[in-house]
Amino acid sequence: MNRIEVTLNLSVVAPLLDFIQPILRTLEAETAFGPGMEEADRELEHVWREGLIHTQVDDCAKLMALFDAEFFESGRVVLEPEHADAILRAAAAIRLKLRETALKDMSDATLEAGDVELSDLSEEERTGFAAYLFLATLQEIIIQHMGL
Amino acid sequence: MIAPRARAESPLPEIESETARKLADRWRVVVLNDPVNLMSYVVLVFRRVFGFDEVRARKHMLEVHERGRSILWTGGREQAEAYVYTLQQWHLSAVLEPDESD
Repeated sequence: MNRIEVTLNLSVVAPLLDFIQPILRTLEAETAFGPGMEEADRELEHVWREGLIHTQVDDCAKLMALFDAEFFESGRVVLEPEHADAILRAAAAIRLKLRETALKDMSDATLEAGDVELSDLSEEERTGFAAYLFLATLQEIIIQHMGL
Repeated sequence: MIAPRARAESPLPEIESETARKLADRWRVVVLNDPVNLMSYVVLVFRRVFGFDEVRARKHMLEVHERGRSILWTGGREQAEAYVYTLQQWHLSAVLEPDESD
């Protein structure tokens, strides 16, 4: 994969970055999904979970590093190939938490179809949905460029 | 837990170890459906983690999507745990199950 350069609409994306800040803080303490450990392995669950959280925090830092001073000047974002996996994972984690929080009252079918009447949504849901779609788009861009 | 038992037909005690059983038995790596992760993302993860080609990865992704779950790998406990951990790092809903097939 080559580096990817994208110019984003700063006025649209910047508020989404603000919106996900609480989720990033949540992801410093809990996994995006609860780990599926058997009861008998509870004593290992702590180590397992801490390892996942460590990767998660690192991945989210790489995602947020995209939105640097250059982004806030020009809207330009540069994705380096060595960070692609981390950014994909971070986007997945944040989307999972958005589903659990801002989008908790929306049905799976509605979210999957993307057929949403924005005027029916609260302010929080609208922004959460926009962040959810933005991160999905970012993932799709990266995956398309991976050319596996 | 170790429970020594002596059989009449053998002079050697038969040792049962739940730990040894867990390590020796076959285990399944199962991915469960979730309403969030993109299909393209799931395919990528399967290719990355298991080395599947596109066709096989898509087959498993569709199985997850349409049936709610797919068995991605079966084998020893330690490797199965490693796979589940890696899939969870990629934020897929992955669990371990004992393989009860013969």
